Order: sequence, then C-alpha cells, then structure tokens
Amino acid sequence: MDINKSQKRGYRRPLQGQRLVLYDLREFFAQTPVHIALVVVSVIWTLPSVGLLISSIRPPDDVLQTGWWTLLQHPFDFTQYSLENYINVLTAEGMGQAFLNSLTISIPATVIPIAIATFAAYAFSWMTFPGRQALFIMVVALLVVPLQMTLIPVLRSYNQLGMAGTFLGVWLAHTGYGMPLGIYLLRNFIGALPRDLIEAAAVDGASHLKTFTRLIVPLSMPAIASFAVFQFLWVWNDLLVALVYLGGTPDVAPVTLRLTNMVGSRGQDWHILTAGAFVTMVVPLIVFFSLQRYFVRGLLAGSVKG
Amino acid sequence: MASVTFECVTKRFDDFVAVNNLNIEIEDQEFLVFVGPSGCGKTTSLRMLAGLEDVTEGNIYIGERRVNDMSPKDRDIAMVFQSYALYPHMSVYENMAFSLQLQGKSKREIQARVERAAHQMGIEQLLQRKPRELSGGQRQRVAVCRTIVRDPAVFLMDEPLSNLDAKLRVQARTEISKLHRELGATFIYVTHDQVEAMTMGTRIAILNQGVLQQVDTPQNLYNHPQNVFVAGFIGSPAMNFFEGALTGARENLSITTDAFQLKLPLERTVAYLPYRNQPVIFGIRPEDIHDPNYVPPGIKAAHVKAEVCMTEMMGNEVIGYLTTPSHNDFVARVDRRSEMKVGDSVNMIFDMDAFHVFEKQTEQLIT
Repeated sequence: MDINKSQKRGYRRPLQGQRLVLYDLREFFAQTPVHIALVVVSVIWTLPSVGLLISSIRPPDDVLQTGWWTLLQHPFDFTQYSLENYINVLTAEGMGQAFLNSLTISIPATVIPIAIATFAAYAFSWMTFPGRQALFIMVVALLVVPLQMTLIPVLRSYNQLGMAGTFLGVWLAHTGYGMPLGIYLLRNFIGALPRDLIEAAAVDGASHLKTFTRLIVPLSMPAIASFAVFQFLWVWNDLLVALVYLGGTPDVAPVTLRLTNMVGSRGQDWHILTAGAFVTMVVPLIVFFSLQRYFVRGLLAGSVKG
Repeated sequence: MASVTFECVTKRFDDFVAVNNLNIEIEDQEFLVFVGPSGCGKTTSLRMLAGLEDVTEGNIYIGERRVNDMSPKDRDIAMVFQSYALYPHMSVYENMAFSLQLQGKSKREIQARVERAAHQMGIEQLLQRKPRELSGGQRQRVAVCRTIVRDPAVFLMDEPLSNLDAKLRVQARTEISKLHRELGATFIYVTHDQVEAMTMGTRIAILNQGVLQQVDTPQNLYNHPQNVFVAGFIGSPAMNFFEGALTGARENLSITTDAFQLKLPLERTVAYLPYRNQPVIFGIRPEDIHDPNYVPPGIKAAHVKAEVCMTEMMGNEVIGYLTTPSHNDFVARVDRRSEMKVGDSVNMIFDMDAFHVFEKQTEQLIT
C-alpha cells in the first residue's frame, strides 16, 4: 500500500523551474480572451451605477453643467466632492424617516416568515401526519399564484379589520407572499439532513420541539440565511405591496415609495435623485456583500445538496 | 438491566413482509447478534425494538414492560447507528451530554458521567473536538461512548463497525466485547459479518427473508446448523452441498450422489432410516475434507475422486477448489504442506464423522 502511494505521489510530482513558468504563461494566455470578456461585461454592467454614485457626491451646479465623467479628470481635487445632496435628501426630502420605515417593515417581514417556514419545513420533512403530502403540494402550488391577484381581496379584508395602513398588515402580507418559497427551499434542505441524526435525537430522548431547536435550526443555518437574504432583499425593494397596503402617507412610506414620489416632484434635480437612489441601495448592497456566500447557495438550493 | 422478548413480531411495509413472526427471548446481560444477508429484516427488528419503526403485529417486551406503543426515549435503550449519527455542530462533550441534558440532570452530574464514560473508552482528549475533526475509529468510539453515558438497560448497535477498515474493526470488536463484560448490560447487535457475529455474540440469531432460522450459541450454530441456510451462511469458505439420496439397507446405508457413494457410519444410521430412498442434501465443511497425503489420524475416511481447479495458498492452510468427474464443485481446506496442483487428479478424503444431512424439500437437518 505504502509503496503504491509513494509511487503515485512521484508520478504526480508538480512541474518545476522553467517548465512551470512556461506552463503558467501558456495557461494565462489561453485564459486571456475569457478574462477580457468578463472584464468588459462587468464594466458595462456597473457603469450606470458608478455614474449614479459619482453624480450623487457632486455639488448640484456641477451635476447640471457637466457629465459625471469630468470628475475623473482630476480625481484628487476634493473641492469637486460634496455630501450636501445626502444631507438634503435625508432631512428635507424625508429619506431618513423612510429609511427607518423600510427597516421597520423589512426586519419583521423577514423574521416572521423564516420562523414559520422553518417550523413548517421540519413538519413536512420529519413528522408524519395525515395529508402531509397534499398540504405540501398545495403550498408549492401557491408559488405560481401571482401576488397581484391577491391585492384586492386582501386589501378589502384589511379595511374591514382596520389593518390597512399599519405595519402589521404589511408584515403579514409579506409573510404570506414569501412563505411558499421559504417552505419549499427549507424543506429541500431539512429533508436532506441524515435520517439517522433525527432518529438518534429521538432515542436520546428529544421531543420534536427539542429536535427542532437543538438540531434542525443550528444545522439549517446556511439554508435559513440564504432564504433570509432573498426575503429581505425582496421586501426592501418592494414598492407594490407597500403602496397598496400602507398607502402613501410619509410617516409609514418606505424608501422605495419615497423615491418614486421624488421622481415625480423633483424629476429635474438629478443630484437629489441620485443621492436618494444610493440611500435606497445601500442596505441591499451591505446585505448582499456580507452574505453573498449564502445568496449563491440559495440560488443552488434544490439542485445541489448543501 | 433487562431482558428483551420478541413475541410473534411481524413487520409489513405495504405488501412486503420485512419480519415474519419473530420469536426470541433475550436474557438479561446477553450479547445477542442478529446476522443475515442484506434485506433479511435484522435492522428492521432492531429498529422496532428501538421504537423507530412501528410493530405491525405481535409484542415486544423490555423487562416486564410491553413497549410497542412507547416512544424511544421511554424504553431505556441507547443505540449506536451505522453512520454513528454524531451531531455535527456539537463537540464530543456536547454530543455525549445531550441525552443527559434532556433528562434534566444537573450540570455537575452530567460532567461526572461524561468524564467517566470518556475515560472508559479512552477518549478524554477528544472531548472538545467536533465530529468532523475525528478519524473514523474515533467517531465510532464517541458513538459508543454516547450510549454508555446514559447507562441504559439495553444497548442496540446497528452495524457499528462496517465503516471501519479491517484492522480497526478487529480492535473495535474486542473493545465492544470487553465493554459488554464490564457493563453487564444486555447488548443487541446487528451485523452482516459472520465473523463479528461468531466472535462477539453469546448467542446468534440468524435471519433470512424476515424469518428467524436459528438462535443458538456460536459453537452450536457451527456444529449443528438446523437447516441448509444456516449451514451455508456460517463458516468461510461455506459448507459444500451435494444433492443425492439415501440408499441401501440398514447395515450399509449410503449417501449416493452424482459424484460419489459413501457409506454412512453405523451409529448415525438410525436417524436417517426413515428418509431412505428420499432426496436429501449432503453437507460437509471444507475443513473436513483432507488431502490424502496429510490425513489427520483417527478420522473415518472416505475417498472421493476429484480434479483440482484452483488452489489458494493462505500460509497457514491451502484452499483447494475441486470438481468431481460429474462436475460437482466443492472446496477443501487442506494442510499447508499439501502439494495439490491445478489439473491434478486427487482422491480427497471426506471425514465421515463430520457431515450433515438435510431433507431436500424442507432443507431442515435430519437428526
């Protein structure tokens, strides 16, 4: 065995010296077209956002007179930069309040569906009860129902219940819209956990609740996180649901609503709009960059295990 | 400490009968091994005892308590899974402490018991590690340790050694046997490996296709197999079988097959007389067939002509694969000095004290 191993190792000895350099160079040039294509695509893709960012940090007069790219001629001339637009947007234009409203909507509207969907996913995977399969199929079938269909009936009931225009109403709406996907994603993950683990917990004396809290939740963290990213981004970027259920009053309006209103009222003032757009984008950017690992994993959920 | 009783236990999955009318009484402190080929129902039986599978019919008792409808945690059992099923996000210590925490034991007691169990299996230095940082052998020890900590009445083990390499397996085998002696608890062990069964069990239950074939001590199973399945399953290489008939008068009752006609020893003919002229199966183990040049003294020799097809030199013995002129293949385990060569024609010696005769139709031993 040992002899075999060392022979194998010898056979796979990496290239050395000049040959290695040559090999690396060849690799590099072979990959070059791919790299160029990737860089070009990325630049084209990010260019509008870069323009937006630069415009938002220029003084209003400059924005109206010259294109954003002129700033790149003297990038270290700091008199070209100004935070005036942001201060203006956050205070006078009410983006600050809207930002808080957005957080107030998004955080519970992410936590509630995750909590319910994780419980449901566990039950659908590991508890036997009559009608389990049928219920699960119904939940998955809900994925194809367009949410626009539900707007009118739900809003009517909200009006009767006095929940229209309240945060509770919009939390529950987002919970309902997010949950079919959440249950589906999480069930795929939780159902793929080894059966032995759940049985070992049962033999060890764990009830379903204990199994859930001590075993399933810690082990499902990657899946829960990826669903959380999805749900949070979708709620944050949502305009339609908020507009319908919350109405347009400034004390409850989220950033998306505020921004649309600004397009209407300040359509010519690019410096305001660009700064407003960046205030709206900053949270999704933070969430995406800090959790992109889970985001990619969430995209793969169901196709590749884990 | 408790006895375990399976009483007419049957398990069906839809139409498939996994376990058919199983009756076993397992005494307190016994080490019972369930063994059989895959799909024979051994693991299902164990899972029913653990409470992970419902019982379709019949009763299971642990001690005096009927446990059919009890949840696993109330049965006073602990189980080692084939995959070990260690909780991947917990350290070894937490893995072992988990069941005690659920029982609501005090922190102090948990620590004392975990440390005692860890000491017993020699894994004290691993307590703070996560399962993924352990080797296969260490994981197996931790899995066993997790069951010891709970001090259950019955230990259940579902092929706990099948993921280990051959050398570790031998070592773990002796460790588990030793543990059984030290703990004095009832062990029920499932394996498909007959060597594990023979070396570890105080008794062995052989199952095939959901039906219990025989429960007995390893020696009795080997020396007195009750039917063709048990005879062929226990022992490696397996017992040789020849189909034939019992012929001749009382004084020279013989077994006649295509390959040979051998006279049976007089003292054993009484049992066989009722089966005269009926089809039977004659079985003889490879080690009871000898090279004519190296015949142990004092055996009742009978000659059978055969040709050598292949030999395997094992060092301590030679395994010969032979065939008779009528093309009945058989295997012989002969003396290591044997010089049998492929193509040789040999008069092999059958030990006529060590054969078994089974009824052909029922495949049951004739005694």
